[in-house]
Amino acid sequence: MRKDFRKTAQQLHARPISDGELAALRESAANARTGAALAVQAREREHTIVYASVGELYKKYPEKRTMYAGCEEKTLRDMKLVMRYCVYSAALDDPDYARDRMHYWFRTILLAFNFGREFITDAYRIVQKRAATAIAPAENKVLHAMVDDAIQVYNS
Amino acid sequence: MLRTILPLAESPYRLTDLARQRNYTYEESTVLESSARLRELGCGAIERLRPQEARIAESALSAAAADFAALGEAGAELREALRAAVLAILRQAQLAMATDSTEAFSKSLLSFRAPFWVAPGFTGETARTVFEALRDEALAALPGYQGRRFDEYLKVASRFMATVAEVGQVAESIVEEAASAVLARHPAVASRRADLPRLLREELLQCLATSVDAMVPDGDAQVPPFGKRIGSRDRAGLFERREALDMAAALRAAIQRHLQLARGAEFLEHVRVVTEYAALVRDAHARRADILAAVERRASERHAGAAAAMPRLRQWLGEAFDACVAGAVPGGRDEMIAALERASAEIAREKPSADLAGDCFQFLVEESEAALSSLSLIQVQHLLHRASHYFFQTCEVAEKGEAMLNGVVDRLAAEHEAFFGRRLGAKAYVVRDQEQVLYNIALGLVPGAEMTTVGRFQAFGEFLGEHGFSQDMMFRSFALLEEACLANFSPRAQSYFMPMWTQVRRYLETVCAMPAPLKKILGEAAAAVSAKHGPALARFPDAERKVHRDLLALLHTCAVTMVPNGERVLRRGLAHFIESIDDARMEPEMLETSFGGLVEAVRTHLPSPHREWLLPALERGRTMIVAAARLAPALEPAAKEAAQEALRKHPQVAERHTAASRRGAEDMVHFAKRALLGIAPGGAEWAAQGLWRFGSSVVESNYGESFLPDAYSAFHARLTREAKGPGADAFDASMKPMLEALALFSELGAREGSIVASAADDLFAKHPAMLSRYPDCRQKTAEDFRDALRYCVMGGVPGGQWWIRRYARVQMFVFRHSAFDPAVIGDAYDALASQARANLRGPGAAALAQRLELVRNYLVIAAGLGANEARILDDAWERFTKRHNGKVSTERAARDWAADGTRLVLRASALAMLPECALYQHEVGAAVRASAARGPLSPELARDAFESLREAAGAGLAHGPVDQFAAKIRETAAPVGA
Repeated sequence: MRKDFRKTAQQLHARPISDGELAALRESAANARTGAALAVQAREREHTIVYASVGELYKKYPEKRTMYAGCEEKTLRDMKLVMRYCVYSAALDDPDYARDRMHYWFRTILLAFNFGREFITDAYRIVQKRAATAIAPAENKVLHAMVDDAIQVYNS
Repeated sequence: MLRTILPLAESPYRLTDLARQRNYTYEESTVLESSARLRELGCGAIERLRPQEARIAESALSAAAADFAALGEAGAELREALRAAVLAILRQAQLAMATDSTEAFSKSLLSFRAPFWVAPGFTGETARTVFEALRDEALAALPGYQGRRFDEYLKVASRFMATVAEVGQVAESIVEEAASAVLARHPAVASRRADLPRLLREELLQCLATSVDAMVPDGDAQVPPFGKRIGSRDRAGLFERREALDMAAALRAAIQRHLQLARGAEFLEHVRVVTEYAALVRDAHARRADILAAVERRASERHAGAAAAMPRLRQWLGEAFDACVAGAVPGGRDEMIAALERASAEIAREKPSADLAGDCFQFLVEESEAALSSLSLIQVQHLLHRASHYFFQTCEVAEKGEAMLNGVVDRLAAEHEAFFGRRLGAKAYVVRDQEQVLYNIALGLVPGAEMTTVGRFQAFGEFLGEHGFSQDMMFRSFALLEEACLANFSPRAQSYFMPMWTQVRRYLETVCAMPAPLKKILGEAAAAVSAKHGPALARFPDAERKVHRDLLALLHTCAVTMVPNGERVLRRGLAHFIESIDDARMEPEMLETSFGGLVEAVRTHLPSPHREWLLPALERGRTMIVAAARLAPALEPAAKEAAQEALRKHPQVAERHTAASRRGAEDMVHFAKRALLGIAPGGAEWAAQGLWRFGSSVVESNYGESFLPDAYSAFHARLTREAKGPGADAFDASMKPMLEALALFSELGAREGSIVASAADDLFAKHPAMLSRYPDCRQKTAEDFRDALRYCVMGGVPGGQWWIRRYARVQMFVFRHSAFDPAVIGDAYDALASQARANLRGPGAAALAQRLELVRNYLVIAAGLGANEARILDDAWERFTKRHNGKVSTERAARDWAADGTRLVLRASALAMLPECALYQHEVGAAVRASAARGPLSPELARDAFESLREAAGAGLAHGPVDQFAAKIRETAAPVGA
């Protein structure tokens, strides 16, 4: 359950659900529906988006390709994972899901490898750009927000 | 009392946790969409209920005004406390529905247990009156489907609060009585430690409270923490094994005496699980060190270099043992799987010798069997057995996989240069995918991991089905993988691996054959809908995309039924489909056109043999969907009318039961939905599970023997009248045996007590010495008789054979661990069968009596084996070696092979005395044949080893249909050398 809804639950012994909370619940239900549609689209287009993004990334930063063995393959794998967790969060309408299970852990790994914040930010901005052309606008909006969240965590 | 077909506690979070790192499958996407719909309905419910919640609460409380008035001042206090609880529960239920999460709802319910447990005057009847009135009010405030979905939450709350009230009022007396019984039987407890009687009472109370807590939607999760508490260092050693076992029995007996639970079957089942688990935790804690030491000793005796590897192996063995104990209750399964996977990941890194590790895990099973009590083993043996195979399989893959899979991919790359030359990391991906397939098959052996493994195969299969890799290349890769497994894996690993791989390969090949004709298949099915229902479709936004999505989802989800346990995923998907149909009232003709078109298009365009593999599931899925659409409008009105009609005929039921009409009607709707699911592949088991829960509570209830049969017959007649056309016959065929079983359960409700008591009287009149020889003999005999009767009812339902199989396995197990005289067993079940024949009259009674006779025959043979198995096996080997003097190697390999094979055949043949267990006979026959082909004996000698077994069994057993059993041995072993 999302953190803010959990907080609401703690207060329901004393008061009813407020207008603001109901609006948030409505919005969350609508986002979850969009997230379910996103799950289908993202799955069908994931390989195309990520493959093209990795190609573009290393074209822009060729020196990073040789920093570690199998850099390109590993980026491909990791980017897919990040995207999947963003889709999970979108389907649940809960950014904390991806943060707690992927982003915080992955930030440690990324920082340890010294790729630099600019490279990391750019990598996921490219994913957002590619996703915008491959995924329908409504679904892309929720994905975009979740990737933004990932970038924010990786830069924190 | 019947549960909804969509468990409340299965939130999208759980689904996502299982998806871990992979994409959602088509079926999971539909579940997510269905969850979003529920959340929207939940928001609507908040909007409607929020303004009137004070009125609703007041009205619910008014229903019990007389109860409060009778209590005077305490009544006013209770009323206020209940008002707060009712309001909180109403709000939490709204939030739970609007978030599709029961986490906070369960927590809130649990918070009411302590204050209401001891509230003066808070009886079960008061709780039921208030909360059933609350349900009525909420249902009146919300329209149709929305109201029914919301009611699911209040229904759980009502049951929970009624149980809190009923148990809480007498908890002290129950605990006192159970504690006194234990202390009287074990006086040493009081003298061992001064505070032990107090700790005993505390633990009994905890058992009781945990059993109540287990009734909330996330109730399964309440049991493992209880196990951890009593398994903690300062508590685990407090009581001896016998004391712990008696605590469980004494608590159950005290509950039976003090509680007349109107709907107690569910609570009593939780009590059974919790008390038996407590005994297991104690037993396991006491024996763990000895078991692990014995394993280490045996490993060192057999493997010269074992010492160096033992520290790590000891750790994994200990973890596996603890994980299996934790997994013995449903709420501990996730923890068990996580622990097994963690250990498996370490094994994959460290690559221990598979031979040594395999032996160690085998010894772990054997030593546990020797050290733990029968009750513990009933809970944990199958987990240990499966976990040992899982680890062995994992070790094989870890040890041999890398070289084996690199070999496969090198050969594949040489044949398909064009593909491997232009793809980044293609070789590494193929190796990874194949390795994952192998590990996933191994994980599929572990009970509770079914949805995890099927989901992984499904995601992989759907990926292959979408990306259209060269079919030739993919088929070749599977053939090469199979070849490599056959060449590299040991016979022991293959015995479990190959049957599962065959099914997985079938699925993977089918999805690889799909991309080429997929466009045509979906196009033709969609075109058929547009042509026939174009104007109707145009009314819905985005209709074409949705039709396409549903067709694709059904196609892929039906395909995954080829994988072991894949039917579970289809069943879940179809359960959501039934709910969507109920919500949206879809046009049956439109569904018939689209899914019928899909079946036809698959028949036309998918190549053979894939279409033959896929079509059965697809056709049944289509039939179920169409039947659901035809029945949806009739379900609720038919249920309401039938309930009212039956209540008119049986007015005493309405007097005795609060809201009987509404509750009766809602059970009927769930019953019909279960019968609908029974049409789907593997759905019969699901339908039977619901029936078992329902039937058990019917037996415990006081509806009388004809109320439910009358009500459900009227319901069935109305549905048959309303729903005609495709699907109706399949529904009828699914529902009829369930109705017959329900009638039998109703009859048992009225007569089970007298049947069991009379049978026990007959038995003890003939064998009076038994009563003094075994403690609690009469109570245990009665429990055994009750189980046999109820399981035999389930044996007559499609999908209900599982109960007979489980019963038969458990009984065999019990007889192996505690010797029983086969003649007494025969007399016992003769008495039961004759009492059942004399007392039961309903339509299924004759079949039930016949099944009881088969059970009786089986039990006599199983009891005979329990006392004589080792002797029969030794005698068989002796006869065999004598007959082939000098020709049979007496080396360990030959002796081991014969011992394993003959033991398996002996047990499977005994089980096969019951038709429901015939599958074990076939499985063992195939396994023995496969191992004989690679074993140390020639086919002729192997065949003769089983012939010797047949002779030895004939000579070694004195009771029951021994000739029939001997013939079964010949049948089981027939595939060897054939």
